[in-house]
Amino acid sequence: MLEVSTTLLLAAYALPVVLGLALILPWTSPLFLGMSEKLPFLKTRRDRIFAGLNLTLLAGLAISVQTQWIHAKVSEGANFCASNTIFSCDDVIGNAKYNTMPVLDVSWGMVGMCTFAFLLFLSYASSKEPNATWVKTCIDLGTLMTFGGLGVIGLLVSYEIEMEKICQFCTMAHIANIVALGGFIQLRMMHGEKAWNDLYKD
Amino acid sequence: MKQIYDDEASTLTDAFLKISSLFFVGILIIAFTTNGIATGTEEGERAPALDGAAYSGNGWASFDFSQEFDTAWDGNVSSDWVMIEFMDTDCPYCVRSADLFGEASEIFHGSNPEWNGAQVNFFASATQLDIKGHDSSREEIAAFRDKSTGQECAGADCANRGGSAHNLITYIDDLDQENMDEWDIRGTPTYFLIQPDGIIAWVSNGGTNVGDVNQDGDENNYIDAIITLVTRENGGA
Repeated sequence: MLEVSTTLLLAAYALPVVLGLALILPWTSPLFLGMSEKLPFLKTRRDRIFAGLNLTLLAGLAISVQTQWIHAKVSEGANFCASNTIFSCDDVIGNAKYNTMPVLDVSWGMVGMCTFAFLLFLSYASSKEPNATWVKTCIDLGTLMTFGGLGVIGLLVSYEIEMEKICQFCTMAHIANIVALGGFIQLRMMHGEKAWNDLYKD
Repeated sequence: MKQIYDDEASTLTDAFLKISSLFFVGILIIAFTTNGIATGTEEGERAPALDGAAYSGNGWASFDFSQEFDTAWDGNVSSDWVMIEFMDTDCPYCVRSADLFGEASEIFHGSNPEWNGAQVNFFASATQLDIKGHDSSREEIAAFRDKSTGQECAGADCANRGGSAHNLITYIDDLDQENMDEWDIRGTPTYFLIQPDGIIAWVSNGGTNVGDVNQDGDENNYIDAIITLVTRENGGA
């Protein structure tokens, strides 16, 4: 049985990712327009996407810190989320055969931390100065990185299939990457179009 | 003089500082709340995985090295230690040392009433070095372990090696050298003594010199390491 605290922690990480997804999805505008009086950044589509993206990437960074923490704890010999069921992040993160990046030998948690921190920098900086000349480059780079992340996710899922175990925290980080890819793609489609600077219409 | 200002530069710097701060807060949380142990092959590091089929006298079967360890080990004498030898059945020195390795596996076994320490489980990861005349196979590894006839070990019948059959030693097939590479083995034989929690306690190559504890004239060999380091019933090693 999974510990209740682990499930609650997972839910706490899932919440910003779900909210980020809701902000990014194109058909959820009515949900947020009502709140735009108090929260002006919810008024335009562009700013909602940026808000969703920042939130999702922040959650991705926090989840990566958590997986790196589990990696360190497991290496100490401690247990965090070991389980006899298929959901056992200790077994996945603690598996010395798969828990580091090939060639570089860096733990996947640290790879996630660096990746999400950089993506958050791209997204946050762009959201603060959306009409700057470098925003297009940031969005393109973010799209490219999150798209490349799909390959990494595929590799890590293949490890999980081989181990017959699932790491819930890693899966949440993978979902955050996929949501972020959706956000970057939408920003990429909007950038340079009239909608990008359409401040008062959805 | 004409000054060029980049009005957007402060946004990038500001964002960079904020995100960097978040990143380092994450690093600090990990640093202050954990005491991670690196996986590696030096003393004090966590032993890497060992892959491949294993032979203990009843055919080759899949092997999970992690099952040998108890990560919550508290220093008690009831948990087993691990001695692993990286060897090649065609390496003349490995053949010559087979007698002592087999004898040690019996001396430091729980069934020996004269040994008052924790049981030491013996393993041998058998590879095939890239040297002419070092062609090996699972049959040869099994013949080496069982001391049975029909296979050639270092130019002679495996049955002619010194000592008795290695009934207490598990042999692991590393003919593809995967384990050897993972453990960064430079030559055979190389020995590792591993604590019950999976932490390497002693390495024959470049590790701590424990001296000639048993005064057999062979300084710092694996027997000296076991006598010095393995937990004993009357407390300490």
